[in-house]
Amino acid sequence: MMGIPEQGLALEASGLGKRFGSTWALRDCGLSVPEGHVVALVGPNGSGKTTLLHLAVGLATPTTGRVRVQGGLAAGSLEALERVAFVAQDTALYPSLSVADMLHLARNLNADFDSARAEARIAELDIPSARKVGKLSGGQRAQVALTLALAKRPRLLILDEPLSSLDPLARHDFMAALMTAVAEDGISVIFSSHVVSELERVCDYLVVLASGRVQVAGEVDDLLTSHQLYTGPAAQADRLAAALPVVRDRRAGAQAHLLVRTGGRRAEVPTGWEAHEVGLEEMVLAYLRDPGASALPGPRELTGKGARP
Amino acid sequence: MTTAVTEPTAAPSRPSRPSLRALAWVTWRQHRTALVGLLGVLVLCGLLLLQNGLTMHADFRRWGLADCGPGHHNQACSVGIDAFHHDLDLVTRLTAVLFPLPVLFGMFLGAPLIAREFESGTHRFAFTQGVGRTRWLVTKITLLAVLTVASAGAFDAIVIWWYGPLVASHGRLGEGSLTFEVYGVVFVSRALFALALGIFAGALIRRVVPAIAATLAGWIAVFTVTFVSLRSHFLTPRTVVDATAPGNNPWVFAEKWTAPDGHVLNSGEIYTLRNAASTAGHSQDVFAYLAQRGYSYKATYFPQSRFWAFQTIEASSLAVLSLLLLIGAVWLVRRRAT
Repeated sequence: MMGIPEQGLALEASGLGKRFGSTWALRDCGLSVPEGHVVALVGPNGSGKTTLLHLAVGLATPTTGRVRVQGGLAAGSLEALERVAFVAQDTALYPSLSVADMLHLARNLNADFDSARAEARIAELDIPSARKVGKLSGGQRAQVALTLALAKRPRLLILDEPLSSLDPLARHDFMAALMTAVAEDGISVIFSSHVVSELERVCDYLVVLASGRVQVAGEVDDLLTSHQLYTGPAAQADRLAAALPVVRDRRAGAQAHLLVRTGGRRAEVPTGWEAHEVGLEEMVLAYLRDPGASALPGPRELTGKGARP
Repeated sequence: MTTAVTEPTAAPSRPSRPSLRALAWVTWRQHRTALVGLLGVLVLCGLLLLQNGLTMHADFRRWGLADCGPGHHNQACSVGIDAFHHDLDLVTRLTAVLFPLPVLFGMFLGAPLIAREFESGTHRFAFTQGVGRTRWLVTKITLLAVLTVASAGAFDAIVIWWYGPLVASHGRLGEGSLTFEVYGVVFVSRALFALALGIFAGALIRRVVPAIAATLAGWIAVFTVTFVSLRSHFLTPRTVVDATAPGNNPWVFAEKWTAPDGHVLNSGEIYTLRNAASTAGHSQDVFAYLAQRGYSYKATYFPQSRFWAFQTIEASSLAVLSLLLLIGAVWLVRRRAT
């Protein structure tokens, strides 16, 4: 067997595409995300994040290619549904059920459900279990959804925009709860977000989607060491840009700021230029501004055709 | 096997599935409002039948109408039949109230079943649980179908008791008679059909109100087509020529009187002719009397004894149709993922 010997892949896609009518929501997507990471899936609205996650949990079926989760399980198969928990955007819980009933419902829909832990968590969070889910605050509802997902004892937890409808405090609490669970259970997490700030603190693997294509994929540390901001004379900028993969080219008078993909090694800085480290947010924003640029791990392990058995 | 396929990290031991009891709780919790509402309507109608039945049965006995079947025309019977007219009128009205009841199962239980999940987005929760959407749906459908058949069946038992005395005197089969719709297995199968149609419409349309409207329209269409034209083709009718009246309360759907000179009588002429026969003292043997006088009579009809045959054919056709719709709904939910 090839790939990473000790770990399987949390998410594995090859040639994955999804078309709605005549529009491709996702196209030729190839990904190999190893297990044990907290993966942020970033991209502007409409970039295909939800489509990719829905394909990964079997809520959508691919138009082309295939997607596997948690060590090669077909997305949406019963085995995958057992081991992969999903928190949909805006939680998708039944608003007319009480928290207690919602818990009971989830227990009855999953054979291996940790009721005691779920109840303890709800009590710990001070969420009134007799209250209807629809009457909870956004933060409480998100916490209930996370509780239900974790009580399934998944190996992989997928969350679609878990933070989008939360206020900053609820956001903080939610991420704290998520990180605690990751630390306790050692599960893999994939979450989508169009919020780019604060990602550095929570994720160690990044996937950037733009217009239905994977633009960046890799471990955060690798991505940060392989990207540098070169500052130097604007007169030499064009020559440099022709020789190096430039993600973003910003000129300010006589000075040029080039965000360069250096290839991972401590590349030599051209004379007359200064190199600075870049933050994750800055790097992500640079990619989002230029959908043509891409940073994908190479050599690619999976290609659309080669991966077919 | 190519190298690109990664092996599952943990060998997938067959995971255990949620028990039927667990899914029964889910079904009950999610549909109890509709179920309680439907049962409430049935109980209310049942009480109405009970109350009307007690009065009507008492009147039936009081006027001795059990002995006043066709062919027992005497003075007491005529008085009784007249007095019973009011009761009979109520029976007809109640029947008209009862026959659409089955469609409620489709509108309020069937149509929202899948449509509401899609409309409110909760299918994203329901379909990603360990149970899997197929088992989730099949269990729900099965349990709700059993509940539908059981409650419609129980209600039908009341109807059968209620209409009991009238079976011999008024029959259960006839042109334009709604008794066929409420008495027997057809009523139950119409409820099952409504449920299946609702579930299928919900899976197809994915919006609650349009699915309810489609269920109502589809149910009415199937009912009307069967009632107006299909049913009479289910069995081969009997044909009677001359002399004999076609049995007791027959369902006559085509009849023709031909005059001695060979022309076919219209309804006005038939009426005049039968009146003339009565005046001549032949109200009991109209057919024989007119045959003697050279009129020929031809009728196509079904005798009352065919009632259960008709019921079986119609109920089983509806059951098969329901099964196909339910299979279609499951297929739609499995296939159309988003």
